[in-house]
Amino acid sequence: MARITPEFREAMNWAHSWLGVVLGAALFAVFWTGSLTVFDKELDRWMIPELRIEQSSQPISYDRLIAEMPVEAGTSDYVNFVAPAKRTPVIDFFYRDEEGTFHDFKYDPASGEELSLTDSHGASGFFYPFHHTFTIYWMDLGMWIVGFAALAMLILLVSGLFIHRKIIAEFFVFRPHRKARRATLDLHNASSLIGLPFYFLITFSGLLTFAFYYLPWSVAEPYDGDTEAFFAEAMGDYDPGERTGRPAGLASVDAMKAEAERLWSEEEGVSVEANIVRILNHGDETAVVYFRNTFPDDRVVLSEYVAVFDGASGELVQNFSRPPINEVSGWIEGAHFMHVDHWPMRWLYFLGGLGGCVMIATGMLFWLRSRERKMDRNALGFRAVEALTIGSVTGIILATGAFLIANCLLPEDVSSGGVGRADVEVRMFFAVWIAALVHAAIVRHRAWAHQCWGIAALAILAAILNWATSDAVPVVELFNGDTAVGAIDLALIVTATLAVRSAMHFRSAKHSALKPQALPAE
Amino acid sequence: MSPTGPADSAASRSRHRSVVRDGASMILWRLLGGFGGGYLVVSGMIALMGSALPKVGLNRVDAISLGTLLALFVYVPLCMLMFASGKPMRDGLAVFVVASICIAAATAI
Repeated sequence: MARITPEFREAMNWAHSWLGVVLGAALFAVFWTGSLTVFDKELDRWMIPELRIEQSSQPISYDRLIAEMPVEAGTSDYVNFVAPAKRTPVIDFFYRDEEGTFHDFKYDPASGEELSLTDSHGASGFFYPFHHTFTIYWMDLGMWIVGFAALAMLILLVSGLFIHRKIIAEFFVFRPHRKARRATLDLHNASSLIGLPFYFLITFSGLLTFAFYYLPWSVAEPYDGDTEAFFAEAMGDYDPGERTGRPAGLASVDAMKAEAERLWSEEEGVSVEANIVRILNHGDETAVVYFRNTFPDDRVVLSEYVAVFDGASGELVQNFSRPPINEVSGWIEGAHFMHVDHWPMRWLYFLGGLGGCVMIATGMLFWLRSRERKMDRNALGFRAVEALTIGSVTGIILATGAFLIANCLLPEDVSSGGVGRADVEVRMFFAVWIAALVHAAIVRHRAWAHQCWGIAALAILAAILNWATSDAVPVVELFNGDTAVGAIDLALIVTATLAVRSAMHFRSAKHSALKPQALPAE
Repeated sequence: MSPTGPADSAASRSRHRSVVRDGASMILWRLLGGFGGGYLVVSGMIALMGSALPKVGLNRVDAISLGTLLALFVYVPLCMLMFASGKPMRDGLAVFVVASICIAAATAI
C-alpha cells in the first residue's frame, strides 16, 4: 500500500513554504476583500447615505420607467434595469451610449424619483472587483494573478494536510502563552483545520466561476471557435444582431415580465422573479427584451432562467434554463457569492473569510519566525518578506480604514489628476497601502504595533465621521434605525478594540521577537 | 513520485531527486510542468470532453461544465506531482505528452 514517504513530505513542505511566501500577500488581499464583499451592500449603505431607504412593496412599472428614461437611452443598444431587493432597495438603471460609455442611475422604487448619490464606488464597486481582479484590467492580468493564487491556495491546502504529521491532535491544540513561534504555528494549524472545508469550497467555487474565462480555448473548441454560441447555450446569452435603423415601438415590458415569471414559476413549482430587465437595440425593429433571475435571494444557484421577447410584438423568442450539470456549476458558484438572504450563513462566511486571513497571516509569520535563526535578519530576502507580511496584513486593513475615512471626508466636487471623487477614494486606499509597505520596510517589526494603533484610530474615526456626516448614531442605529449601518459601526468599534489589544501585545512582545526561540518538535 | 519502501538504503535516498535540493533551472522546469503543463492538460481534457461526450448523448454545455468541474481534481494533483517527483524530467515530459494527446484528440473530433 502506498504511504507518505519522507521525501514526499519534504517536497510538500517546500511547496507549501514557497507558494505561501510568494503568494501569501495576494491571497491575504483576496480573502480580506472577499470577507468585506460578504457585506458589500451593507457597506454601500454605510458609504452612500442616500441608499439608506426602506424596501418598497410597491410593484415596479418598467413601462413607466422606460417612458421616463433619458432621451439618449431611447436609441441605446443596451439598457438595463436591476430590480430592488432586500439588501439593495433601489432600482439600478444603466445604459450604454453611442461611444460605449455607460451611464448609471439609481431610482427610489417608492417614488420613482432619481436618487442623487454620493460619488463613491462603495464596497460593491471597489472591494468586489478588487477581490477577483485586483483592479488590474490590462490584459486581464489581475484576474489571472488571482486565478493563479487561487490554484496555489488549493495546493497549499492539500500540501498542508500532508506536512502536518499530527494533524488531528493539532486541531485541538492552541497554546497562546507558549513561545511566539509555537503559538504562531498552533494558530496557523487551528485556523487552517477549523475552516478547511470552507477554504476548499470558496477557492474551488471561485475558480469555477471564472473557469470559462481562464480556459477560453477549451470552451470554444467544441463550438469550432464560436465562443458566443457556447455562452448562448450555457448562460442564455442572446444576440439580436445589428440594428437595421428602422425605428419600432416597444410592446408592454411589464406584460412580458409577467409572462417570463409565469413560465419560470411553472417550471420551478415555486414563484420565480425576474430581477434583470434588459432591452437590446432599443428603438429599433430588432429590439428584444431580455429577462433573467440573477442572484436570487431565495435560492443558492446563481442564475437559472433567461427569457427573451421580441420588442415590437412582445412574443417569446427564447426561454432558457440551465442544463443539469451546468446548473450544478451554477449552484457551486452561487455558494461562493452567498447572495441568499440568510444572515447566520452570511456571518459564517464573513468569519470563515477572516479565518482564512488568520491562516495566511500566521503562515507568513511562521515563515519569518522559523527563519530568524537560520537567516541573517538583515538579508534582503528576509526583510522583503517581513515588509510584505506586515504591509499585506495590517497594511491592507489600514488602507481599508483610509478608504472609509476618505469616503466621509472628501468634498463632493473633489478631483485629482482628472478623476472624480469615487476614484480619489480608491487612490487613497492604494496610497495608504503603499505607505504601510514602505513604513514596514523602514521600521520593521515595530510596524506591527504602529499600524495596529493606526487601524484603531481610523476605525474609531470612521464611526465618528459617519455619525457627523449622516446623523447615524453609532450602535444606537443598530436598534433604532438602519441595522446594516449600525452593525458596521459596531464592527468598526470591535475592530478598534482588537487593534488596540494587538498593538499592546506587539509592544510588549517586541523584544522577544528579536530573540528567536527554539521550536519544539511538531 | 517514486514510493520508497522501508528497506531503502540511505544511498538510494541520496539518489532520489528532490525539489528541496534542485537548482533553479530544475525548479523552473517543475513549475512549468506543473502549472503550464497542467493548464494544457486540463484545457485539452475539457475540450476533449466537450467534443467527445456529445457523441454519446450528453448535452455539449453539460459536457464542458463536467470538464470544468473535474479540471481542478486533475490540475492540483499534477502540480503536486511535479513538486514531489523524483524524476521531474520524465514526469514533466509525460505531462506535456498527455496534454498534446488531449489537445490533438479534441481538435480531431
